[in-house]
Amino acid sequence: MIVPQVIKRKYASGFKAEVALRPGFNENFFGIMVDFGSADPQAVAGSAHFLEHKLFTKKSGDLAHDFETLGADCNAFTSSNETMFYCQGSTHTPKLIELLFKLVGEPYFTTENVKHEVPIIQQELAMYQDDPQWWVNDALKRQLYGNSLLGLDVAGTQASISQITAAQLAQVYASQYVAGHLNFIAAGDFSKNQVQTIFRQVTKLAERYFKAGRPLLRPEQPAGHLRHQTLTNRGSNYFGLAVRLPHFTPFQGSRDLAQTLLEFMLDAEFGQMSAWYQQQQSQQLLNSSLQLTMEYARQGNCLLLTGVSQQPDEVLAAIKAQLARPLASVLSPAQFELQKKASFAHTVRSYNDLSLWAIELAEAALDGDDPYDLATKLDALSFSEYQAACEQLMQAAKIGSAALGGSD
Amino acid sequence: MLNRTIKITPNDKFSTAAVGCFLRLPLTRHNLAYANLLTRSQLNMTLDYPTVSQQQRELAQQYDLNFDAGIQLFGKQLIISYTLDLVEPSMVLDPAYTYESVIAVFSNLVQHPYFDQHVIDLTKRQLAEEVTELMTEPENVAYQQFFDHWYQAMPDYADNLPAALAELENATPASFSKFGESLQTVPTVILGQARDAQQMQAICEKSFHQVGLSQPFASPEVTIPAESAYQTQVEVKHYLQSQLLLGYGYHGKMPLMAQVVGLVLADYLAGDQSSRLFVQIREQLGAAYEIDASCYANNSLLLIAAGLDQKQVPAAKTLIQEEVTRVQLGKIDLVLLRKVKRGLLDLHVASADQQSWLLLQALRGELLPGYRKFDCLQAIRQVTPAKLKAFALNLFLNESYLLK
Repeated sequence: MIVPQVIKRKYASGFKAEVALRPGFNENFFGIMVDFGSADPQAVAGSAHFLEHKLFTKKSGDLAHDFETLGADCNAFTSSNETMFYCQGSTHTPKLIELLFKLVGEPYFTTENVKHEVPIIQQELAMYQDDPQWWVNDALKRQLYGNSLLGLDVAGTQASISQITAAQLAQVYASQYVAGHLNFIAAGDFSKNQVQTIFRQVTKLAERYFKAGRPLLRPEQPAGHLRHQTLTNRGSNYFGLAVRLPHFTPFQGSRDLAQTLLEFMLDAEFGQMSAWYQQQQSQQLLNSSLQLTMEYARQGNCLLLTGVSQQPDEVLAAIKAQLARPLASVLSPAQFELQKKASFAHTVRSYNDLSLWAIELAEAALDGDDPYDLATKLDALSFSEYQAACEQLMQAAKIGSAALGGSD
Repeated sequence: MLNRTIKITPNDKFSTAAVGCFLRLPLTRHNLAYANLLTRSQLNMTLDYPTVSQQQRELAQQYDLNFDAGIQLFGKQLIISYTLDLVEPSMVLDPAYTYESVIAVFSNLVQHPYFDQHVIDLTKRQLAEEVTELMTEPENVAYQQFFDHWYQAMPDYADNLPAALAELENATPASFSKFGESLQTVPTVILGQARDAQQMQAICEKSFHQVGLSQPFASPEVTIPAESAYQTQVEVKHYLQSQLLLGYGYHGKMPLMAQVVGLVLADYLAGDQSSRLFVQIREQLGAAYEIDASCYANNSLLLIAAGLDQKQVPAAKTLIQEEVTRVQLGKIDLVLLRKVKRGLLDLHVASADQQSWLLLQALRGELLPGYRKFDCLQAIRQVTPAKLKAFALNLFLNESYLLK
């Protein structure tokens, strides 16, 4: 496989930076990923996400306008254990990098501007909650992790959003936005000289804005009550099943590799090529395939299977029965080889989407993973090692489920 | 040999190659219904791969070929679109994986649909399920209702999938097959990008034989005029957010330069975070998380949409209308206009980093007369406050739709 070049630096302060080269691309991507998200310790649910919104506000106004003046686009997102700030533009590289560091490194929280943001975030949450699927996903997360931070929406709740104050944001910012939690990434078509210039500038800006250190996050492992829930009918036939994985651990030193193997397993069990799916389709219990994902976070790990059916209870029972079967009767060496091909193709395709590629690289760097090392390990893995790994990772798995369809 | 439109251009940039086969037919409810049935069925199974599992296995064998089939609407024209995204064989160095092996699969998928009753039944169930799920989301409901009202006098153009599905109620293998066979003669083009463009071109020429490839693909008649018939609609379904859609019609056809002005105006009103309505409705009023404006050039429509706090709907609606009026009066924020133009120029340059966008541009170049030679970057630079004002003066508020 032809692998694009990625140049990495690590600073004494704990700050990390990398430049990923993608020759021929017009646009450049710059991002800072913070190793802190909605499920990490914070006094009020939704603080990490609120912080992500509020860092755009500076004393001079909305910093997004400064990016736009340069013809660049900027945005941010929050996940369970990460917050990412990024911008994309084809010119003004030094100015964009400077603005990005200012965005992440210069907080300006006031009582007034925090109060002003509350209804905007409440509208964001309302927008998600108007989607019936949100309620199933929410129920599954709460079953898995209770009312802990990982069990709640990234944005928090309508009530918690209104409890957030400037002082709380400042406290969270001071404790978590430190050099050891931050990873800078640039991706694009840069010359050797430009790479050096970027690193020089990043070194100065990291020193200016971020104090050294890496606070140790000691995550709790919250647990909810796994069961079946029938939720209020919202006109949708969406359902979901969650599997808690208490024995999920890195495989050959990589959580990404463990995640990939479990997703292979799910695909073998329930994907479009599986005997199970063909049977569900022939019985008209499922018309379209399930969404199959494995999610890991510091606070807990799970498999999620979601789909649409007019008879969700029957499908959920069939999923549970399938999961109870020994893996040896489900997995096959031929399919494993096909899945390796698909994974290889995914890696090759990822080079074409500059922003997604850069975000994947930044996530991997925070996890201590290397996507190309992962591809090599996967290629070398035998079928028996794969099967043994899945059996190990699935040990003591517990299941919960939820479907829409109850009365109002 | 007749002159057939198959154009593969060199790919020096991407790790994947892309090939698209596009068929043009008039947009009618019947065509919309059957084109959806056909393309969706081909995503399931085809004559050479008669089960879902067989088809998926074949795609997986070819390094997870990314095959897509669907429809695109360009005003009065419906485009059946088959696209293939493949890992460049030079990235793999597997002797069994070549352009020939990939195009053999692609041409089978495209040219040999499976006109069988059980395929029809499965696909109809999938489409119905998709519509049901889409219509549980208020934003989708609002857009569907908006366009139904907008095109109540011309329902063929409403892109109404639920209504189109009614057309399929009595679909049979015979009616399905008749539709499929009729596509042999409709104007068709094959476009793509590959590292070895010459080789890919030769393989596509050997593999695709539709008569339609020799038909002229460009369509002089794309624009659907906006008929002036102001209406205001309110529906109550008790969602958490209200969906407000304001539709401004555009008098007459929108030439390519005017389309660019429309694009600039849409971004000026509700594009980035500096845009007029984003600042006023989200940042100042705190009434919304998202607000959007789009210029549907082929539909002669400028559409402004927002998901709003119920209590703030009247204020937000007033702000939107006032802002359009300000542009009509020539009261234009010049700093913002410069910013918007700069952003669009950058976006245009950045879009060339997306293979799917390049394929779409190639399709537009074949479909829309004059498009290939049109310099979009130059046109963006040439947008002035006067042009923005003239465009806005040609708009008329034609529909207000509110879903609560």
